[in-house]
Amino acid sequence: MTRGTRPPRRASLDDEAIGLLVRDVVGDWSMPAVRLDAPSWRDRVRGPRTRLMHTARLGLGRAGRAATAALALTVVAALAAVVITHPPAQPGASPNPTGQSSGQPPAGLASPLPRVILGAGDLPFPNRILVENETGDIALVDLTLGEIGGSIARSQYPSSLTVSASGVVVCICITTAKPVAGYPTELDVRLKTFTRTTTKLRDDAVDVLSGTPDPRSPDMAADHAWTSVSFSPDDRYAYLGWSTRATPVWHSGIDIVDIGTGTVTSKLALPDMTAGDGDARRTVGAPRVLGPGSDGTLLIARSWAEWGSDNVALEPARVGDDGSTATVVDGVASGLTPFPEAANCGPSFVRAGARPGGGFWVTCQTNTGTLTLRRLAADGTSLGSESMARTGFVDGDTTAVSPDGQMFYAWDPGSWTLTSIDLSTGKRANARLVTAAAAGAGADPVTALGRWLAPSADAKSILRGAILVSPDSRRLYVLAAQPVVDERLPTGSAGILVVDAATLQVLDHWPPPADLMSMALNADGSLLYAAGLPGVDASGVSSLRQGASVTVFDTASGAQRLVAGQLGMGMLSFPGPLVP
Amino acid sequence: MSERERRDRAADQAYRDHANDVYRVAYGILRDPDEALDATHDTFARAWERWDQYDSQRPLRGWLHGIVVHVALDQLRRRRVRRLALPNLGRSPVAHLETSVADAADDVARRELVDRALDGLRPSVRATLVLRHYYGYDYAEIAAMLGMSSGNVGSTLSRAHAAIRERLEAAEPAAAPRSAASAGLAAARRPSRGTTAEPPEVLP
Repeated sequence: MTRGTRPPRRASLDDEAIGLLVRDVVGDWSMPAVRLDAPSWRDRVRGPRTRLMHTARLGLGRAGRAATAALALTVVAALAAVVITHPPAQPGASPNPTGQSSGQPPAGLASPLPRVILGAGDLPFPNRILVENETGDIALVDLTLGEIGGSIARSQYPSSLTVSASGVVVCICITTAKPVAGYPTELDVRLKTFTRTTTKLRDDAVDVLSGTPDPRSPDMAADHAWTSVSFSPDDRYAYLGWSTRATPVWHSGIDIVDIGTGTVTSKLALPDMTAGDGDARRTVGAPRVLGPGSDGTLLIARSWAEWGSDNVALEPARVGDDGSTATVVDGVASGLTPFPEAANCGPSFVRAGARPGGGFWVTCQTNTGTLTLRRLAADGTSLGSESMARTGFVDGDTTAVSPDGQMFYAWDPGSWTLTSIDLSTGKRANARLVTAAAAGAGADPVTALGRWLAPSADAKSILRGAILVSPDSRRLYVLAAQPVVDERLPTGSAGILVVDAATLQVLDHWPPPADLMSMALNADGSLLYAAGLPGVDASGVSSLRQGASVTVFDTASGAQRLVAGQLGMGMLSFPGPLVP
Repeated sequence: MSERERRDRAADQAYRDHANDVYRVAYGILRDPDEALDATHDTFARAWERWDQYDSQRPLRGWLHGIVVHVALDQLRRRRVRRLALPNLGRSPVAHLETSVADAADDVARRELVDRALDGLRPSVRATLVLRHYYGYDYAEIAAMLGMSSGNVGSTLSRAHAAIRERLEAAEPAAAPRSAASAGLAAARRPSRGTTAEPPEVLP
C-alpha cells in the first residue's frame, strides 16, 4: 500500500510524523570532541598492544582505577601462575579445548545454523521449554518447530521473573510513575503468575513504593528507589527488597510474598541509613535475600555508595555494605540481627546458602573480579575464607553447589581454572583444565604465556549457568571460552567440558555449534540444553544472520540430539539450572 | 606512493568525511557517547584493514555503516563488563521513564520523549530507525547491513513506530492530533543531514 492510498488515520501520529521526530532526535547525536590521549583508529591498526593499552585506559575511565589495577595485577598474577604451573605438555585425557593453534582469527562458520536439525535418537524431552529473553521476561521455545514466542508476562524493567518447578511463570512486575529529574519516584509492585501458554493465573497488588528527591539537590539525576527480587528455593515465596529515599535517610525493607496465595505474609523493616551528611550524597541499594540458612534463617545483604557531591556520574567516593539475618516461619519474618561477618565481603554479593551442619556460606565479588567464599557458623563465627582470582570479567554467576549442599564449585572461564571447596571442612582443590593445545600447540612457553596474558576487559563475558552439577553430583559441566589471542579479535565458545566432580579431571569435550553462553539440565540429567548467542558464530565472529540458538546434548554420549538455530536476534538464557 | 600510504590517505579522508555519520549509528545502538566513540574508531580501524574489500563504485558511507552496525552490536554484548565499579544496589527503574503531560507540551519535551522511547527499543531496532529515517536507506540496504530480510525491516519499523506512538500518546493524549504538525515544524527547523531528498517512505 502506498502513501497515497493509505486510509486516513484517526487523529494520531502517523509513521511519517514519527519518522520526522526520530530524524530530529537523531540529528542531535553528534560526535564529541576526541580526547588527545585517547587512541584513534590509527592507533588501533598498529597492533594489539596499543589496543590493550587503550582497553586499560578505558577501564580507568569507565570502570575505575581498581579495574585497571586488577587488569595489571591479573596479568602479573597470571604470569607468576603460568611460570609456576604452566600447563603440562601432555595433560592426559584433557581434550583440546579450542582447536585453535595459532594467532590467526578463528574461522567463522560458513552459514548460520538451520532452524531445526534433529540428531540421532528420540525427540528430546522436554522440547517446549521456557527461557529468559533479552528483556528479562520469559518466553516459550518450541524446539521441534525452532520457534520462540513472545514475552509471557509482558513485563518491563525492573520487574523480576522466575519459573517454578511446576512450570508456572512468576513475575514480580513493577511499573514506574511520577519521574523527577528523570527517575521515577513511585513504583507499583504486583505479583502475576502465568501458565507457559500465557494464561494469567494471578494478579495481586504487593506494594506501592515511593521515594522522594533529595531536597538539597532536587535536580540530581539519581535513583529515588531501588528494588531487588529473589525467590525461595521451593518457589513458595518471593522476597521483594526495596529502598526508598526520604532525606535525611533511606528506608529499606523486605516484603515476603506468598506466591501461591498472592498475599504479603510479612514486611521486614531494616534500619534506616543516612542519605549523606553535608555535601555527601548516598544511595542505598535494596536489601537482597542472598539465600536461606539450614535452619530457615535468611541471609540479607544491603550495599550503598556515596559521592562527595551531587555529581553521581563520577565514581563513588565510598562504597559499603551490611549483612543481617532474619528468621522466617511460614512466611513471617522476625528477629532481624546484624551479621557483621557477612559484611565487607565485596561490593557485589553473589549468592549464599546453607552449610551442611548449620550456618551459611556466602560469596561476593570485587571490582577486580576476585571471587571470595566465606564459610560462617550459625552464630556468625567465621570458619574461613577462600579467594579465587578471576581472569577478565564475567557477567554472570560462575559458581555452583552440589545438590546435597556439600560441595561448592567455581569456574573461571578466563583461565580455565576449576575450584572445588568442601563447605563443611573448607578443603580446597584447584584444577587447570588446560592442555598444550589450549595454550598453543607447539608454542614455546613464552608464546603460550603471551596468550594467557591477554585478559581483556572486552573478553567474553556474558555467561548464565556457566557451571552445572549433575543430579547425582558426580559430574560437572562447564562452559569454556576460547583464550584471548588478540585483543582485536573476537573470542568464541570452546564448547562444554565434562568434568569428574571428585577428581576435577576432564572426561569429555563437546564442541560448540554456537557461541554458547547458558546451560541447563533436564530433571534426570540425561540432557543438557545450551543456549547460543545471536549475531555471532561459534567462533565469536559477527554473523548477523545467526539467530539465538538452543542445542540439546545427550549427556551420556555428548551427541547433539537437536539444534534449534534461529530463535530470533535477542539473547536468551535459562532462568535456572534445570530447564523448565 | 605505496599501497599503505594510499590506504592511509583514503582512510583519513573517510574519517574526515564520515566520522560523525558512523558515530551517529553507533550511538543509536549503544546509547553511550564514550562507547559510541570507541566503536567509531574501531569501525575505521576495521575499514582500514579491509580497504581492499571496498567497492569504490558504491557509496563509502553505506559501507562504513555496514561495518559500524556489526562493531556496535558486538560491543553491546560486552559492555556490561566495564560497569563493575558500583556495588550491586538492586534494580533501578530508570530504564523506563515516563514524562508528565505538562512536560510534553513543547517540542523539547517531545524530543526527550522520543529519545527515551528509543531507549526502550532493542538496539537493532534503534539502528533500523536511524538508518531509515535519518539516512534514508531503503529496506534492502538496511536488510543487508543488519542481516535480516527486507520484510523484517518493514515489520521492525512498523513495531518501532507503534511503540514510539504509544509512548507519546500515553504521555500526551490530548495533544496527539497536533503532533504531526509539530514534528514537521521541528524537522523543518533542522535540515536533514541525510542524503535522501525524499522524505522516508512509509510502510508498504
